[in-house]
Amino acid sequence: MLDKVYSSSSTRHSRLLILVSLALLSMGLISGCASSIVVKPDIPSPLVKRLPLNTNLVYSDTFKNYLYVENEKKRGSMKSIDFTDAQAAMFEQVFGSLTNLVDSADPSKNLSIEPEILDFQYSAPSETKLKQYEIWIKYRLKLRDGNNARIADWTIKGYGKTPTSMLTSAPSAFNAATNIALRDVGAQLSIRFPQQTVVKTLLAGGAPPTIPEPEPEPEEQLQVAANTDESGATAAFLDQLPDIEDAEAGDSISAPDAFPEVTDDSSEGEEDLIETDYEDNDET
Amino acid sequence: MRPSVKLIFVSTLVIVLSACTTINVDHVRIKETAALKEGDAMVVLGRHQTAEIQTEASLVSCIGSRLARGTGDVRIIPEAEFVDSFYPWFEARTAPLHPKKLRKVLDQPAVAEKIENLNIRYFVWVEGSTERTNSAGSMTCSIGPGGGGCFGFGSWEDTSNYETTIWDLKTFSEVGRVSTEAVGTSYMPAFVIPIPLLAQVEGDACQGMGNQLVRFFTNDSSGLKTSP
Repeated sequence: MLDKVYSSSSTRHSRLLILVSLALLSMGLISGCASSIVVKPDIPSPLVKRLPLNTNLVYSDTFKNYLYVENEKKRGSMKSIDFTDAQAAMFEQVFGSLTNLVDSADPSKNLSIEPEILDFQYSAPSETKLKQYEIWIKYRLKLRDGNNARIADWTIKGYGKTPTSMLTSAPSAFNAATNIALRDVGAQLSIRFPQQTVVKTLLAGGAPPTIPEPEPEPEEQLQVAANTDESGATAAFLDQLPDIEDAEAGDSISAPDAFPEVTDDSSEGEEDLIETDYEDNDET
Repeated sequence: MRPSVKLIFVSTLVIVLSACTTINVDHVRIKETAALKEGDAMVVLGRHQTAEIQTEASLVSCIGSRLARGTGDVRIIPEAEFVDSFYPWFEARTAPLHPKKLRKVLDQPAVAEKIENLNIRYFVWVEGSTERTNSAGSMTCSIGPGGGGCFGFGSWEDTSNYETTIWDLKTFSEVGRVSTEAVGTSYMPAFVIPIPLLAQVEGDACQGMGNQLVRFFTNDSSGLKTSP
């Protein structure tokens, strides 16, 4: 008798546990879990000709410790994303293939490149009508000659997207989209770097003209615009992107929905992109 | 397993597999014959050059597999492997959109050398996607202490639109084109258990295009239009 009572109680208890587990699982699936994402680098080595330039990559503390933290409570697809290792790996992969990387103290150094993150944005499928995770990253590369005189700035933007899939979690989708965005930046750098006027001047043994240091940026320019518009979380960033004509002129990239071909005629491909490119300061 | 259960399972499987798709395949042969020889390689690549165009990797891989089975000695290089080994020349933003632009990419000695080493003769570009074009019906699922179940009926229509272009690396010209439109309706009746009757639209589009591409490369010209 006691066994029967115990058995009945145990069955009820098990059933209750299963129900509670199912309810919790359903809640978890419905609400999703915002996570802190660390992007693992996945950038192939560029198939490019190495230029006879000795380059030093300079990373500021802001660049090395960059962490995008989502403060908007409505945006629950992630808490934060850290892609510092991935972006450093990309710059080292690209400039390590294009040039010889040297230390800052190396006397043979004839170029320093300091990347700076100007903007980072993302969108998740729950925020747009597109069933995609999307990432936008905007960099400014400060180029200095061997004497540490500023010779050019280069603004460049990368875009990456991954389609949603039943088997893809938000962290892995963001990881993939960020890597695609970094690949995009790396691809543009790899193809367009040898076409730059300052690079050609350095290769010819000349001294490119120096440019003035830019005005210090107001603090809000570095803040990431929050995309709270449900119909188009990407709109704010897309509005800032230049037309294709501007992109083909050389100093910025195009909107993601109008990618230009970078394989332009190399005879026409000399790009005076960089010297006075501060227009993006006003945009951000 | 009891015979009645087996019967239900087999019937369900038959119904699932027989969900219908309508496919239209249009193909144009610009050059009379494809000149593939043993040891040649081909690469099948998806177009991703705009935010809207996201040719599914699964479809590109499916067409590659169909070509590999149908063309015998020809080697098909997987898309991801090709794009990674030729980085940065075939990325979404940088991939050539015309054969003439491909010639410019091959002006890069390292790229040309690698293409030659791999014996790549043809590029097959796939552009398009499968979209949900219609959906109707509703379904309710509930769970309680005595169990759970779903009730209702849902249906949806998927449409695939793809265009495949073939480039010959010897002549840097387009030599053929295959277009496919596939429309399929899937159904999901639910009486306690939802029973999916799925139309394999993307898979059917792949088979349609893949078969035509095999006919193109094996110089089977029956049903192929020849461009003047």
